[in-house]
Amino acid sequence: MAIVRSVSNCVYTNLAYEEFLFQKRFRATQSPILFLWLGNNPSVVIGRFQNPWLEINVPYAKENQINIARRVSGGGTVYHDPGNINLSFITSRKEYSRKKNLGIICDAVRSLMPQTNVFVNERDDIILDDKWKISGSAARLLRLEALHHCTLLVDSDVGILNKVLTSNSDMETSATRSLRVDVKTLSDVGIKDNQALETSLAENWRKTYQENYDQVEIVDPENFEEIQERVDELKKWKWIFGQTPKFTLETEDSIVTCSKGKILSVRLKSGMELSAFEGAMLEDLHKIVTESEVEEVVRKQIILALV
Amino acid sequence: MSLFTRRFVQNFITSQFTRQLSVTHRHFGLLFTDDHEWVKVDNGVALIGISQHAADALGDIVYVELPETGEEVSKGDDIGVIESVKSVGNIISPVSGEITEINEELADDAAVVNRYPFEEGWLVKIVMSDESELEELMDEEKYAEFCAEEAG
Repeated sequence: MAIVRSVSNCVYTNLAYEEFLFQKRFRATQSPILFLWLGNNPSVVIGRFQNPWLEINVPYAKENQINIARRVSGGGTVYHDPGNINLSFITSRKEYSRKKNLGIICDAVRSLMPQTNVFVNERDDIILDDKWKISGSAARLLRLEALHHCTLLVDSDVGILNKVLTSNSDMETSATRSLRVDVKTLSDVGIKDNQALETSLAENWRKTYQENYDQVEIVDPENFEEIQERVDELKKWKWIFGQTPKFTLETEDSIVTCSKGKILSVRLKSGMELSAFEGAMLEDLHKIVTESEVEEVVRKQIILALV
Repeated sequence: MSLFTRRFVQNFITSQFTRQLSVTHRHFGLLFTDDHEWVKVDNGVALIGISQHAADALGDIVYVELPETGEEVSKGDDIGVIESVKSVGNIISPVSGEITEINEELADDAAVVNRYPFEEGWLVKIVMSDESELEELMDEEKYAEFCAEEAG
């Protein structure tokens, strides 16, 4: 078993490195890995098939330099900042147990503060004081390997979290939706020390394997050549926004249907189809030469809403 | 549809595990992979879905991503993704060939796979390039044993 901790604050780098640990390192070593990645720069991470415009206030995120990322596991949208801890449990598919992993987190919290009221609910959320969510979970399962990762709110800025996770957009979609619940942080009950919590998590995880204590490996994935291509992919509009499942959006003058970054149809509210945009990729919309004022106006509306 | 095919389809719908005897076509019944997909073969075309066991283990399915028609795939390739409330997992092709049809209904209602995994919840159709690959799959009896072993 190995405990690996990243010193990177870049959510894209950490996501790419997590994939490397899951699909390359674990596959080769067959040795379970606990990956700890704390202190990301403010970011929102959406699930594999979510719609970022519906989950996030995209203009607010952009204005406030909050990164937007899409991960490969499912589930809902989460907020990262220097006050949250991310943990990834990488094991064989056979060994995969969400309950066990979440139990480790609860034990780690109680090791620091024994009276803390934390439990795992039926949605696999960790709940503080019977009503506040402090941790969300998602998993990516392959034939032989399992990745289960969780967030843990320690001292995050809940004010910003609530603002950025409140969409300003409205569309019909088949994408998976987040379930909004009220959150708190562990600092609200007196647990503020990220370092102590990290040590406690590592210790409680190690205990379940009854093996000798391994040094925590400190890694700097930003200098890891092998993942750079994947980091670049994760930063692209094509992945973050372009992977959004089919949705229909209403602008002031039109109804627009898109899927996987491509415009399927644009219909004016007057009834006319605007075939000029059919089949165009959203990220290339600004390049299209418009042939009428109507097309120009509608194009601007779509760009404002989406790109 | 030929009389044989219509009868076969009717029996399939009323009894999920009915076997057919045929003197004109080599017939396999319902076959299963160790990744919990089922395969139903008809005239060189493989209809593919996931088993009840798989659907139950996944929990409520919220999204299914399927390949494009026309894609050439090999046995063992990832041909799609299923997201459930618990996880995201891959659909692995049990055979090689060309994807000729995908179940478009799932885009509007992915939960059909949970409700009817053997019927309306089918995922893809593949025109097979190598029928001998089917011999590596399990019949329903072996699959039942396989599931029991996995649980134990």
